[in-house]
Amino acid sequence: MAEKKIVKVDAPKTGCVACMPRTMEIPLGPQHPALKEPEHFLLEVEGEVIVNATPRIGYVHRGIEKLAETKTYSQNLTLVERVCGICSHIHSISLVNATETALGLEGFKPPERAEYIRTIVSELERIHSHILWFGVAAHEIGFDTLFMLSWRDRELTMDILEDISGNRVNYAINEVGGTRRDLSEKQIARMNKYMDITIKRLKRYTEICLKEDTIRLRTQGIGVLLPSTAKKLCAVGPTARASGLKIDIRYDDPYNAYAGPLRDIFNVITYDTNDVFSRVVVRLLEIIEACKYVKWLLANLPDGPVFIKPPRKVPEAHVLSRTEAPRGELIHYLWSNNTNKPYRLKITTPTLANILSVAEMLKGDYIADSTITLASIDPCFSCEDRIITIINKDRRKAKVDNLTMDQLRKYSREWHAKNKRWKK
Amino acid sequence: MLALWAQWLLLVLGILFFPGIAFCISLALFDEWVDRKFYAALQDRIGPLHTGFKGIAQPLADFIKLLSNEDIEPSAADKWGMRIMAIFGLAVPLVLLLFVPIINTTGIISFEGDLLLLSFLTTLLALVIFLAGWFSANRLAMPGTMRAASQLLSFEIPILLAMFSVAMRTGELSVAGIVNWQMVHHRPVMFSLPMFMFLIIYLLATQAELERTPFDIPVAETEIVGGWEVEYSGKKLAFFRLGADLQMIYSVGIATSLFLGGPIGVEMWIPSFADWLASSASLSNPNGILWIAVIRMAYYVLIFAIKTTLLVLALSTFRALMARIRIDQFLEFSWKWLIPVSLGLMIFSIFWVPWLDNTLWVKFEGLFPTGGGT
Amino acid sequence: MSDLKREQQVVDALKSHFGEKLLSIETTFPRRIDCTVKDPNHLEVFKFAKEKWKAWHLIAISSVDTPDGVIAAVYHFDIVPPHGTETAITLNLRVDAPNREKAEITSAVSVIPGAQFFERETHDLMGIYFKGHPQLDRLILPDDFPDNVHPLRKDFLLEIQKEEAAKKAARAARAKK
Repeated sequence: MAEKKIVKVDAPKTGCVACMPRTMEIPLGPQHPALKEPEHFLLEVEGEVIVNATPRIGYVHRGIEKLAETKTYSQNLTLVERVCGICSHIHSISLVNATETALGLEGFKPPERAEYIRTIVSELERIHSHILWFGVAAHEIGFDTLFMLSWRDRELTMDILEDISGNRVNYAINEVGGTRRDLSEKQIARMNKYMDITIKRLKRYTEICLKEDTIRLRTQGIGVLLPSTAKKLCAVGPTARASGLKIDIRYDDPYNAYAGPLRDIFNVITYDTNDVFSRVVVRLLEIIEACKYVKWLLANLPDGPVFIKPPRKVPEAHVLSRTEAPRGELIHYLWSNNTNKPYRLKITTPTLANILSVAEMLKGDYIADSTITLASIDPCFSCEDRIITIINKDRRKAKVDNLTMDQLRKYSREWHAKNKRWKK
Repeated sequence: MLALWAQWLLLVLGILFFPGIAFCISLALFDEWVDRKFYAALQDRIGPLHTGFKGIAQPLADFIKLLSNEDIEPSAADKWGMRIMAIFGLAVPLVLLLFVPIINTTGIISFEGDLLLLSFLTTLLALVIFLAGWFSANRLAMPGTMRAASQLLSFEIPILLAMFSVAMRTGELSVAGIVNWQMVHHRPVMFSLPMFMFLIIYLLATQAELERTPFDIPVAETEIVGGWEVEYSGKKLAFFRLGADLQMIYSVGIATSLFLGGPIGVEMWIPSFADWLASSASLSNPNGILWIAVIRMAYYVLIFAIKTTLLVLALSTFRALMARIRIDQFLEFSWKWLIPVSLGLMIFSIFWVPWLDNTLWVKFEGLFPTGGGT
Repeated sequence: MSDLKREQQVVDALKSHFGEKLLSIETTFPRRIDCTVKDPNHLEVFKFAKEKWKAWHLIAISSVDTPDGVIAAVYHFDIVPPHGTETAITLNLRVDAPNREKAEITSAVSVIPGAQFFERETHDLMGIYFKGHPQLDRLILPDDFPDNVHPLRKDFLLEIQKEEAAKKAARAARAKK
């Protein structure tokens, strides 16, 4: 057993400056305003320059992998959506793909329309996740106006998602054998309209980011991850693509609708300045691309059923399901054993793959840049930490005020009518 | 003349209520509300809404709420140091505000050469912030303190240069004298190219002095968790917050007095109105007419509030438009650009002022009834 | 790509190079190759792939407590990285640990530095000790978690699993009556 290294954070002694050590240890997290989720980085700094960074994760560790072994596949879909609050859908796609691939041994095939709907939702999720990241990154560099405006535009995507799935966060649209909901003509028209607006706004933000001086001052040349280092440390997703590596699971290992004709128009975005700026540009361009894919998918949506009843038991197989989450490559490795429960479900999330790269990026940066560098991989620590053995059994049922979206709309319209001065 | 005790009473009342502490605090809270509301509007938000008319009482509510919060003092910190610095953080801006002419062309405290004292006291504010961070003995406060020290000290210089250029331009060394100079010469100091540039430099430096975006480096929330004020909570934080508001009022107030003519408004160009206003010099003059004095006071306060609020709006626009820059970029900007430019501008203004202003000004002379050069 | 042609080529290349060292190799699904090797041989597979196909991407390391009671680590490795419009081919390389009590596997960090955190996670949760790992510390579990307890092993039961087992036993007892 390796020795445990417990990091102690003592208050520094007050008094003489001369007797202070040459390097100072600054904790970044677990609780830190810049981190949306608990995570600990111990930064060794000399003056303002970081010389070493030691990551420690595991603060939001919930035991999902172990728990998944006790639940049926349908229940697990609900469970794995709780792995992450932002990229929830991609987890359920991953599991559903793994399950359906195993079922494919018995000749089961999910309907095509369902696969398209899944892909649409996953692209919408990518859009909202990237815009969310963009806002957070703007906040990290102290550009609050961009943060507020981009999050305003994120609401369009969130509205669409709520419209088609009924939820804003965990969409719960997947089911083994298809999807739970179909798209109506009205929804499709609305999505097309909103995607056009999003594309327009995002193009504007891309322009701002490429031109605005303070953004460039804060993002260019920091958090550098060279392509060779990225390869060595197995970086994935936009982080790797921003280092010029052309990897994207949607193209390299296509699943769902990506395997179809969408692959011909698919465009893997890369950018080669290797710094935080490059990651900003890659993500912004990816949003625009994702909007285009959504429009393409909507235009080519096949007819047919969205659900076919699958067999109850999943035949014995070892399935590796790779998907491209907004943050990078997501792995679900499923061992099924001819029952309705998985024997073993292993989830590896992109942040765990990228965390080493971050520790590398941080070295040599200023403290001021540490948070934006850390944020530049779009870390999602609750994705990363999944497994602990505490289950709260008597959850009190939360009280939910049942306002549907239309009711909310109505309420807001009334509110704005009452408060005329603040009407948009 | 009033009796001596009455003069004393008026002075004490002036310091305590109007235009002293109570009034300045109200104005500061009002301007914070304006700032927040305007900043929110720029970001397509609504801003404070529920407390009072359109949330106008929100800054006051925040202050009271902070006062009632638990006050936590870390065991490693110098507790008395922290307490004293919190009080200083509120008291120094209040003292500074007594020098700003609000209801009069002179401040409550005014003497020949008070500009020098002001320049000293503003530097004291930087020291207060430095010590406040130092006493709290937190490893996140330390970088914040260092940043605050280097930032505030490097931006003192442009501020002082701007202030003394105005003094050079007008030949006065007191705030009241400069305000009167503008009254006598029928134009604000700002109406002159180098002085206008100094106003911009002053506002830039003020933004840094107030630690607001893009110069909120010492208190960067997402980098060093609030920097030097990380260990301050409850009453102490409330004091610092209010102190920051007051400092904002002081900074824009001094900018108003030095560059924009202070509380003097349109009477600069309407002599009859000015004569009428001056027909009662002060409350303490029994020969004057009291209601004119009251109108005059209200008028000056209104003009002062409008001018400062406009400057605050300019500052908040600036805040909304940029990302925070890094400390090394900031110092580079300050030492390589701003300070050399302001030094050059100062030399430039010596040669510019005596003749060019006049020749330019004469062209616009016809625009105003009483216009006229130096 | 349903004819598994490219996969078969990779399988053949591996077979001809390693021969007996591969305990089993098969392709069930497109773009996936399942393979089992003995402990230190996985490093050689990685080196071979790095040379032959310029592979670099270790996707993840899974760990399984198999039904036979063997602790196994599964390296997911992009054995043929994507190039041009070609898709990638992934190798699931299973390495069994010699025994449950002292599950030791040679660390892959020397070949692929990016394996560090995956191995630490696996070590933490499944209790596989990776020989030659530079820093095999706690990564995910809390610092005060008991040593030698590994939550993902099948002998570690959750509360609900215990309850289920108890219910099952009770049902069996009732049925006996």
